[in-house]
Amino acid sequence: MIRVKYLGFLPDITGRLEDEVDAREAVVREIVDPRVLEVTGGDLVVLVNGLPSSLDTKVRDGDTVALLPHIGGG
Amino acid sequence: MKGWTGKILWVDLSRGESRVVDLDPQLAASYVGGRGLAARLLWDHVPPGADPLGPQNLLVMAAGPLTGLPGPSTGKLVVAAKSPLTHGYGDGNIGTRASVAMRKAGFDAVAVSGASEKPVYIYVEDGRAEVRSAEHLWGLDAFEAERRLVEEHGKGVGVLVIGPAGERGVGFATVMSQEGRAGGRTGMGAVMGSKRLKAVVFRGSGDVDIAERDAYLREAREAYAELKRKPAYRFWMRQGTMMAIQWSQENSVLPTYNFSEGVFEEADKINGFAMEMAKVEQRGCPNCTMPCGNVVLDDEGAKAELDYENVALLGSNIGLGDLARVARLNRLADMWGVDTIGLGAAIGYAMEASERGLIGEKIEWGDFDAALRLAEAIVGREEGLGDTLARGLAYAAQRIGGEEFAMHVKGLSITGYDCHAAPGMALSYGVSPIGAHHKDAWVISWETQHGRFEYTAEKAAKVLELQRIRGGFFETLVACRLPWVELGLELDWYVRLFNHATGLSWSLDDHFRVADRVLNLVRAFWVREYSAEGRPWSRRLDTPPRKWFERPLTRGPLAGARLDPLKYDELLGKYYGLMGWDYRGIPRRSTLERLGLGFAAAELDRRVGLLP
Repeated sequence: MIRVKYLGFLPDITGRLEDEVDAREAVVREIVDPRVLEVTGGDLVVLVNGLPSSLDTKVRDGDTVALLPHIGGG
Repeated sequence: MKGWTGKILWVDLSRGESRVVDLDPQLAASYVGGRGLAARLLWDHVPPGADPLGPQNLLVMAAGPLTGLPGPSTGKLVVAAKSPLTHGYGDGNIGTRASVAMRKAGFDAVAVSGASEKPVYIYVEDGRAEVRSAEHLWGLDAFEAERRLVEEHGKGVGVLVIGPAGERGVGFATVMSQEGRAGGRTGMGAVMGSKRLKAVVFRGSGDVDIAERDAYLREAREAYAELKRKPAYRFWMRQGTMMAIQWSQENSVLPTYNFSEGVFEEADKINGFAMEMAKVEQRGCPNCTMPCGNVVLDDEGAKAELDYENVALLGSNIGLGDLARVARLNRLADMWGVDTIGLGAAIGYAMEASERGLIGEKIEWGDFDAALRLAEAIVGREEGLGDTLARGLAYAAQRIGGEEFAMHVKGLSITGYDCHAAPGMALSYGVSPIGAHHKDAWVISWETQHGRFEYTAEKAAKVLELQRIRGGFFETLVACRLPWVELGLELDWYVRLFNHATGLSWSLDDHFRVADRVLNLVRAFWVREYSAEGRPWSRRLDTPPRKWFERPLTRGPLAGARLDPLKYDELLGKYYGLMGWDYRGIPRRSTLERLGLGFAAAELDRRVGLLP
């Protein structure tokens, strides 16, 4: 199981806070809700197990992916 | 000269006199307004080496061509002076009805020199000004003083006011407005206080003459509509900047325990979702359709306006995971007129100094009562620790020790982002025009996806790009950067609004040329003032505190991360190269001359010897 968390305003797009993806291995881009990629153009902050990653990072069973929109920092 | 009112109000408080001076059109074209205009006025009118809290310092309140006109978040002005905290260039922007009223009263800027013997306030109405007694207001907190002034002068006035912190010269005292709007964390409130200036009250009934009124208004209406269509708009309206608590926690940059860690175990209790549960009201600046002031009730049932920075610094940074109590500290800081960020930084430093046995006081992480007592001692300038911290972290570290964990750059405390694992953001703090502040180049979001741990030329270039946009373009227009930076309203909207207002045909590059001029003049001001005060200038001044280099993160997914001092120094050199500055971080003669700053080159060459 790979956990995908949608943070910031991304749940406004998905309607869900997170997904649990039943896969042994995947690339992050393949398991992200496609509407998130469409609205943000893929310009996202991607963390895998809290470490800086990208949409092209390979993940495996047990990993947690966190997706955040870019923000401006006030 | 369309778009500008073309007038500056000069008030000499030593004589109790005011006069109106035409704004030189060449000056307007070269510096636009806001920070640009303020920097040039300070360069020209503050004698080198002037005491920041003496009558020779000049306090400037400067608007720009977009200020006060209808348009996305244009209700801001810049307050600037030589900073008592840093002894360099100091400014801050504040969203307030005063910005709109100042322009309607016919002024692009107000410049206040001298000092009054007795407390006064300045009343400005439609092209004229009076200096009036403020004996009845002196000693009141910022909220109460503003209420009295509004009672006296009626609704519709805009008020800039200081609280007790400004009156007593606390180094990080701010200028306040509308019970929660604050600006000038570089001690602009203390400069006001040193002049015995309690408030400036504006009333205006005129309109700014703009070049293409119909086209301007159409563009402004479309910009507002476009803003509301942005995908993040609804979420922003719920959480505003408070959404950044979750963001910073996830990315391990939430300042925690005096910037020792990037994650806080109680972050969920103080984040945007916790705030939403407690929210009772939403406030904003004039002309704003994305108000960022989220109001909650504090633990005494009083309204407190929260945003990310004050919750990060008065919450996680001091180990306090109780939003209602964070809110009380925040409200009191606003009433006292003291910077919430600077206050949180001072308390965090004191907690660490206590933990390390450098001070006798017992102030433990997360101890609200101790934090509150210390805050009162700082604002009251009580002899001992309170007064020492009121003078700022640089001074406190000299007196108490712990220089490596006094979290400031050039005397201004670091704002809400831990940089153990963010070299680009560390550079941004290092080279910010006012000391450590995120306003000019908040690069960290971009940095997370562009070689997070690397020290690349690309990062130095990104910092400069953001400084031009945030610290130059928006600070001279003057408009709030949030519609662009948070919701993605494209910069072209502002270029078109500027052109419709002024009748000019500028490109974004034209604005960036102004930005470069302003950033370099600000740098020149720092070097001039340090030279005049006999303070040695070096690139060490552009380097963040040693803690981030020497003591790695111990918690969270990035445990072990720290900055590399040699690589940081290389990154700094890359930035200097892009700016046209020498190895000391001083602008080269050719850089200043290219930007029309030959007058500054001559002064600096005499003082420190410029490289070609």
